[in-house]
Parts: sequence; structure tokens; C-alpha cells
Amino acid sequence: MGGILQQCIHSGFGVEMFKEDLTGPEYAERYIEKMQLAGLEFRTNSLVTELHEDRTLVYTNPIEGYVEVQGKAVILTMGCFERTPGQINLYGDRPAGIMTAGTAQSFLNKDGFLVGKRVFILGSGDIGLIMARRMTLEGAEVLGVAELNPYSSGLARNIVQCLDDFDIPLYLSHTVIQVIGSSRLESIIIAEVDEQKQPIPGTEKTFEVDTLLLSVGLIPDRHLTAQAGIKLHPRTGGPIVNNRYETNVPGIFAAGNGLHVHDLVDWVSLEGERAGESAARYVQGELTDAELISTEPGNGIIYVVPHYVLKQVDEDVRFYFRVDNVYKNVKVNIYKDDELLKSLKKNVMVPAEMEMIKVANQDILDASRVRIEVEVL
Amino acid sequence: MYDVIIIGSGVVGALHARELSKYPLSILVLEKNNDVSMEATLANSAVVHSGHDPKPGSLKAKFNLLGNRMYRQLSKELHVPLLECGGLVVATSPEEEQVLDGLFERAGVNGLLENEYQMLTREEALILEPNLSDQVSKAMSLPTTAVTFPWEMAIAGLENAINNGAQLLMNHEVTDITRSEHGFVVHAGGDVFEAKAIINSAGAYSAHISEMLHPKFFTITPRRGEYFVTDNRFPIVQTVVYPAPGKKGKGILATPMVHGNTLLGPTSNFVDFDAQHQTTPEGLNEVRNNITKTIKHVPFDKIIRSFAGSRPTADAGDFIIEETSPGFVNLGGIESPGLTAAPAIAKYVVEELVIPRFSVLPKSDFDPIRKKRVKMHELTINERNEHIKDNAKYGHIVCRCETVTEADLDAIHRPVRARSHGRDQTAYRAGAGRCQGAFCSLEVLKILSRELNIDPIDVEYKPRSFVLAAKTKGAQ
Amino acid sequence: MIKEMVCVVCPVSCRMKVDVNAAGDIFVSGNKCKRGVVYAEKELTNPTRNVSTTVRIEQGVHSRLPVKSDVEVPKALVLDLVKALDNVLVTAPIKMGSVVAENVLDSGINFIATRSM
Ligand SMILES: Cc1cc2nc3c(=O)[nH]c(=O)nc-3n(C[C@H](O)[C@H](O)[C@H](O)COP(=O)(O)OP(=O)(O)OC[C@H]3O[C@@H](n4cnc5c(N)ncnc54)[C@H](O)[C@@H]3O)c2cc1C
Ligand SMILES: Cc1cc2nc3c(=O)[nH]c(=O)nc-3n(C[C@H](O)[C@H](O)[C@H](O)COP(=O)(O)OP(=O)(O)OC[C@H]3O[C@@H](n4cnc5c(N)ncnc54)[C@H](O)[C@@H]3O)c2cc1C
Ligand code: SF4
Repeated sequence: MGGILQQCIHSGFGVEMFKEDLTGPEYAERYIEKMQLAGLEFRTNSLVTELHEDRTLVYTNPIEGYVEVQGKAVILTMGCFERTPGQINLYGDRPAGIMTAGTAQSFLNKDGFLVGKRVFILGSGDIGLIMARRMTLEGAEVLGVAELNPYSSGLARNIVQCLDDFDIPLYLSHTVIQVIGSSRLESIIIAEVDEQKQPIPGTEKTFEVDTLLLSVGLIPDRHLTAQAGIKLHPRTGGPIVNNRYETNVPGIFAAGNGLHVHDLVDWVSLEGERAGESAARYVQGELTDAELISTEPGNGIIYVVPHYVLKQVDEDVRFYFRVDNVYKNVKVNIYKDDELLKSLKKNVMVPAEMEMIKVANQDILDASRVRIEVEVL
Repeated sequence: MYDVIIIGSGVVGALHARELSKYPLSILVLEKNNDVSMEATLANSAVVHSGHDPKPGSLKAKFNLLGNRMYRQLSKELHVPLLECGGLVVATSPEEEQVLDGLFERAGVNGLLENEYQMLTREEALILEPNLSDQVSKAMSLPTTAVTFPWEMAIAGLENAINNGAQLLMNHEVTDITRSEHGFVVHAGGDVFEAKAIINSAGAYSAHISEMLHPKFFTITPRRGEYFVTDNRFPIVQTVVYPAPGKKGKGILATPMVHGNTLLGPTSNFVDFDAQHQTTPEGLNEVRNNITKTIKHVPFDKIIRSFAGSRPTADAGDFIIEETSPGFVNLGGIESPGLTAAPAIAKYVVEELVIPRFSVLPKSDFDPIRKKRVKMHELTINERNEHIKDNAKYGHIVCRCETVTEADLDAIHRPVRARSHGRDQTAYRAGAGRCQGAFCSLEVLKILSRELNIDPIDVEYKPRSFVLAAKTKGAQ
Repeated sequence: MIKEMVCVVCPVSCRMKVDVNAAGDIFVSGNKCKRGVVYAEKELTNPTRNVSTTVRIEQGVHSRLPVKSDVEVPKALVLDLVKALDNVLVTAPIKMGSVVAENVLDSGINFIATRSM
């Protein structure tokens, strides 16, 4: 139990929920203990292979075999998976030594397997940055990190303590243009890219490495959603939900990285709590239908979760969103239809860091749309 | 002393081994890699072509049609999936319509029966394949076109041959062949073997093998093809869609795979031997730009992988199928439609060229059936649970994208042993799904290490390359 | 002199402006909480880091146990401390929070298990 947290052995979890700086496994264990105290039934080693609209699902494990159960409510918290070498355009052979940073992380942190000795990292996502430090600590040499965008996609703290601390260079606006080696990776070539993200001739650099780790984005796991008729959002990649975290299929809820990719586990927990509470209310028959207020990403915003708010009295709504670029000195405006409801000043906003704004539920009940926008000052 | 040594374990070598195992002969297959079928047979379009387009009168034309007609029976006997999806060659301009008319005529000359090729209007074609582009004006339907699972076909053929008495040695690269009193002496992987006859099915390296014994009489140049593979939950086409053929062969196809993925490609470019498996920006852009000519909706965001494979193209352009000196059969330039033609070539070579030397009759106890493997996803929940009762490993799913169970990984212990981590992607399809092994590769590594009884550090990825570099904390 | 600094104490990653006057007083702005000030002061005098790594474990579900330093470690000592843990071998079961290596390299720093196994 604990999901991805069990392999994230670094600290930085729980600052909001526990006001403490915990490692991933510690954060997970606190919740596992809570679950055990509450006497909840659970199954490990069990994979759900099917989910249907009527909330029946099938799971399998070596002891019980395949089991079909129907939930009065179902919450989807399947987490996310990493974009793979195949999904980005990696040109060249397919030698050993190319894998996602998260895969290397599980090899290293769970069983002490070092997948390479001279390492380059493509993509500046958090997992990649954290692996740069971990591999260095365990005796590998990390030669650099290349990031296609002119800004990092990982948290600033991770650049400081995972790269700067070990003098590992970060090449912004760079990408790997070729991998060389047929059995084992022998070297890679990187180049600077222009504004269209096209490699600029003459800027190539070669690094002799045996390993290339990829940290080029995460995608919600939507393995089970299609069968159940759950609608997905094109930008988040996860289900479309309302402020109760309910999907378009009644009684099926979603939260966490399976809904949209988070950088803070604390917010995952908050979402999970809210989805759990809604599911409980659904089972009690306490959830009633209502008209929907849609939430819209305006200028500078990639997406807003939840995608809808129900027109009924409820808890305050936490809007989670990401910006599409690096912004300095801006205001975030929340519009109720076309009327400005709330405005917040921000010194810096970056796509790597999810933002959250809380809005009082009664303030928007008479709206038909809520829009969040970045205003450059 | 073996009766026959087969060099190379691609689909051609594999099906020759199987065909030979019908006779009371001692057979040895030598493969240079640490796994079978890792070359041309691993990276191709998987299409069982109808035989409509090779040059009339060529060996390609002859064996393509014969091979196509053998595939259904063969797939059944070996329990290899066959997608009988048919094919469409489409025209998108008046010039291409003319090319199509020419192709229609050629199909007839090549011996396709009347119901095996038909000209269709756009409307008729759309019924067979709704995702044709707006430019498609006319199409030729090829209902006998099918799609196989190429390396599974090779592995199944070899397994069946081994069950019928053949032997296989991997990690045995043939480095020299000399003549002896009784036949041939073959040096491979540090060992020396003798054989009365040799079948050279070394694919791209067949010319090299031939030259160990003969003066050079053909050259092989790798002709690379690059592809995209899309997620199997979003099929793009339901039938093989060919563009009207041009100078560069059959062109960029959209091909439905037996596991639901769609293949987009291949390109066609002559390359050096060491660039055979390399993808390039130019090649993949060519695929991107050309595929939309024939296909309307191409979800490029559903691509999970790209790869390249190379056709062993001979300078003469046709297959070389010849006993070039007594007891030595050269199979050169077996490029497309080689996969389709392989069973027919094997039947011809064995019956016409090899068996006459030995004057033996077929064995009475040859078993053509390769046992069907349990496919959990085809079973009901109750049936699955019966299997799990027998073997709990069927309840343990290792690869969640492709629902590969721990029991499926028994390929490690099958006659054609899978020993490498890279191979799990092909043999068991663990890691072949959308996460490309991110979730399961640690577990697969541990299972391989346990089952092969070797240290995780020694688990190979590809020939001569390993998954791991070291263990931490000074552990040995 | 004004220095820009990113606080690494928690994932909020506050971007701080740190000003040191002639008398050596430190003024911090941009921090969301007081820990940012403490961090800035330390970073200018004696930078320290949390260290998490693993040690070998026998009879556990995995072959490594995650551990962390019980206090922050001077930056310069990080690599040596991690290397010193090569000698540690523990046996499951282990409770989260138990000390698996005491006073490593005489630094006074202990490493504790960050999960039960
Ligand atoms: C490398 C990395 C570093 C991070 N660093 C920090 C940090 O420093 N601070 C911080 O606050 N946050 C951090 N995060 C973010 C945070 O840890 C994650 O967002 C959070 O743990 C996600 O929780 P989750 O439950 O949504 O998903 P997961 O933890 O991924 O859990 C999903 C679970 O669902 C299971 N599952 C999936 N499909 C099925 C199925 N079909 N049947 C049964 N089970 C299934 C999976 O096995 C898994 O156990 C980090 C994340 C990563 C990846
Ligand atoms: C891009 C592409 C697309 C194609 N599409 C189709 C299609 O759709 N339909 C179709 O019918 N055909 C197609 N083909 C053709 C088909 O894939 C080949 O004809 C077929 O796979 C050839 O099989 P093979 O056994 O001769 O060669 P290979 O599979 O290459 O096997 C040769 C084997 O010999 C081994 N070997 C080499 N040298 C030595 C040595 N010295 N000692 C020991 N072993 C050695 C190699 O390691 C290898 O395992 C395509 C080919 C390509 C490349
Ligand atoms: S100043 Fe406080 S809130 Fe901001 S990053 Fe540092 S510890 Fe976190």
C-alpha cells in the first residue's frame, strides 16, 4: 500500500497535512495506520481488470483468483504513469539503458539496483531531478539534465537541492536528438532548440553515457475508464468531475494523480478525503442532483479542476489549476460569468507548480460559468 | 554429425526447421543472438500479403501466393493468432487510379482468384474501412490479406520443431564453414559442428554466410523501414490500408495488429548495417506526412512507440532460393513478402532440395500441433479461476497494461527459452503496453533471475547488454 | 547585497529575497513561513540538508529499507555519510522510526527507518 510514495524515499511530504517534513514512505505509513485502525478491509496484490457503468468491477489476486464485486460507490485513485521513450520522439537504436526515471527509482529505492553508472536525464520533471540526486548519492555520475522548455518542469527546490548541490548542469531549451549504441547505450547527442522546439544545427553536444533517464511528463492512468463510459478531459487526461469529485457516471468518483497530476501529496490527500466523503454521502442517498456551473480556464491557464460545480449549498470549493507559462508579477482573477469575483496577486507562477484557490460556495451559486484567468500587470 | 544445420532462427529458419522435423532427420538451428527472431522477423509490418503486387513470374510472386494459402492452416496448427482483416489498396488521384488499374491486372496475372481481388468505389470501400481519407477515390479490395504475429510464428514453429526432435542453440554465431568428406564443418560460438546439409537463412547476413563457401554472387543491402505503434485501446483501422504503390515499393501502410495496436509505416531507405534499427526524424516525419493521405483520423497522441527494421534486399531484387553447391541451400534477399512466403519456401526447399539427398519418408509420429497456451483474457471468470486453482501464478498479473500473468512468463521454461529482459516485451508482451514496462520491469527482472537461477545483475537485456549496472551499498 | 534564494525546506519553494546589511543582519522577504528565514540564515553560514537513502535489509519484501538522517546534515558531509551506510545490514521486521545506524562517522547523526518492513 502507499502507491508511488513507497519509492519516493526523499522528504518533502506532509507539510500541509501534518505540518511536518516527512519522506514518502512515512507519509504513506501514517495513512496506512489510520486505515488499519479504522478496520477497513483491503486487498493487496490485487489488480482491478474491469470496471463497468453499474459500478461492478473485477479484480484478481493469486489467493482469491478473479472476483467480481459491485460497489455502492467506486472511487478511482489509480495514480498516473510516466510518458515513455516511445511517446516522445527519441531517434536512434533501442539499446538497454533507456528508461523512465520512475522505473529507475523503483529499481534503486526498493531493491538497491543501480541501472547505470554514467547517466544523463531528459526532462526536468521532479522524478528526474530527484533521481539525479539519488543516483549521485549511490555512486553514479550524472552528467546533465536537458529540458525542452525554457523553464524547468520540476519544483524550484528540487533544482537547488538535487542539481545545484551536486554541480549537475541543467540545459534549458535543449533536447536529446539522437541515442547511439545498439546493445547498450553508448552516448547521446543533445542540441539547443529554437522557439518552435526544433534543434538548432551547430549546437550539438555529445555525452558518453550508459543510461538515459526520461522525466518527460506524467499521464493519469485511465485504463479502466473507457469501459465504464467515464468521460475524460483532453487537457488533464483524467476524468471530468464536479466539485464532489463525481464523474459523469453516478456513483463513480475520482481523485489524486488519476484525476490530474499533482506535485503535492497533501493536495492529493485533500482531494481523496473530499471524494471519499462524497462517496459516503452518495451511498447514504444524501447526494441530490443540481444544475451545473462550468469552470473554464481563461488566458494563461491550462485547466481547472473540478470541471463543474453543482448549484447547491455545499462546502467551499478548492479550484486547482496550472498556468501555461512562466509568469512574473501577475494577478489571478476569478470571474463569475463576466463579473470579477476575486483577484490575487502572485509574484511568480510556473507550470510546474499547481495552484489552488478557495472560493466560498455561496458566492458562485447564481453563476452559470466560473472563469480563472492570469492578468499580466 | 547432424543431417541438416539451419543458420538463423528468423521466421524462415524456424519454418524450415519445422518442415524438416516431419522427417526422421537430426536437425540443428544455430542462432547468433541470445534469443530467436530478433532481426527482420521482429520488426516488420506483419502482413500476410495476398500476392497481388510482386513482379509477375518472380519467385516473390510464386511463393507469396502459395504462402498466403498456407497461413490459415499453419496458424491453427501452431496456435498463432491470425487477423483475417482483408486489405485495401487505395487511390487518391487520377494518376493513382491508373496505377491501381495496372495493379488489378497484375493481381490476375499473379494467379489471384476472381474473388480474391475486386475494384471498389469510394463508397464501397468506406463500408470496409470507415477511416479512409477524403481524397480516396477508388480502392482495390484484397480479402485474403491477413495479419500475423511474426515472432510468435517463428517461436511457435521452432517450438513445434523442437517437440518433433529438432535442436536449437542460441548465442552461436556461425563464423566459418568448410567442406569435409561427409559434408560441412561449421564453426559457431566456439563450437564445431558437422552436417550433411546446410540451409542458410541468416537474413541480412546471408550473403556473408554464402561467401564462407562460395565466391560472392549476391549482395545484401539493408533497406530500413520506420514505424509508429499506437495504443491498442484506440484502433485506427480495421483493415490493412495500402497506398497506391510507387517507386519505393508498397508505401506507408496502416495495419491493424493482432493485439489491437495499429502500425503506421514503413518507410524505405537503404542504410548501412549498423543503422538497421535506428529511427530518424526524417523517416518518422515521412510516416507522419504520408499516412494522412490515405487515413482520415490519425491520433498521433496515441503513439506509444516507434521502431525500425531492415529488409535484407538483394541486388537482383528477387528472392534467392537455390542449392548453390551440393547440400548447401542459399536463401538470400528474403525481404517482403518473406514473412508470407516463408511456409511455402520451406515446403519447397525441404521437399525438392533437401529430402531427395536423404531419401527418407515422413515420420508417422510427427505432431503438427503446438499446444495452445492458456489465454486468460479469452476465458470466463470461472474458467480463469479453475486455472488459478491449479497454478496461483495465473492470478498474479505482472504487466497490468497487457494483463500478462506470472504464469505466462513460463516462456522462460518453454522449449525456445526466453532469457532476456528485452525479450519479455516480445514473447510475453509484458511491457508491450502503454507504460512500456515502467511498472513491471522490476518484477520481470526478479522473476527472470529467480526462474533462471541467476543473479539479477546477470539478467541480460539484449545480447551482450544487461539490465543492471550494479547493486548499491556495496552489496555483491 | 540582495540575494535571490529558493527556500528548499518544503515543496512550496518560496522565492525569497535575502538582504544582508553591513552589520551582517539578514532581512528576508518572499517567504511564506518563518522556516524560510531560518533556512536563509543557515544557507549563508552553514548550509545543511535532509538526507534520505537506503540500507540493506534481509527477509523484507524488498532488499532495501528507506532511511533518513534524524537531523539536518552539513552539506559537505552528505556523501560521506551515505557511503558509510554501506556497512549497515538490518533484518526485518523493523518498525518505522527505529534507529538503524547510530552516530555515523562520529558525527552525532543517526539514521532512522522511514517505513516498517
Ligand atoms: C517522484 C515523485 C516525487 C514526488 N515528490 C513529492 C514531494 O516531495 N512532496 C509532495 O508533497 N508530493 C510529491 N509527489 C507527489 C505525490 O507523491 C503524488 O502525487 C501522490 O503520491 C499520488 O498519489 P495517488 O494516490 O494519486 O497515486 P499513486 O501513489 O500512484 O497510487 C495509485 C495506486 O493505484 C494502484 N493501481 C493503479 N491501477 C490499479 C488497478 N487497475 N487495480 C488496482 N490498483 C491499481 C497503483 O498500484 C498504486 O498503488 C511526488 C511524486 C513523484 C512521482
Ligand atoms: C520493414 C519491413 C517490413 C516488412 N513487412 C512484411 C510484411 O508485411 N509481410 C511480409 O510477408 N514480409 C514483410 N517483411 C519481410 C519479412 O519480415 C522478412 O522477409 C522475414 O522476416 C525474413 O525472415 P528471415 O528468417 O529470413 O530473417 P531474419 O528474421 O532476419 O532472421 C535471420 C536470423 O539469422 C541470424 N543470423 C544472422 N547471421 C548469423 C550467423 N552468422 N550465425 C547464426 N545466426 C545468424 C539472425 O540473428 C536472425 O535471427 C518486412 C520486412 C521489413 C524489414
Ligand atoms: S518559506 Fe516556509 S512555506 Fe516557503 S518554502 Fe520555505 S518552508 Fe515552505
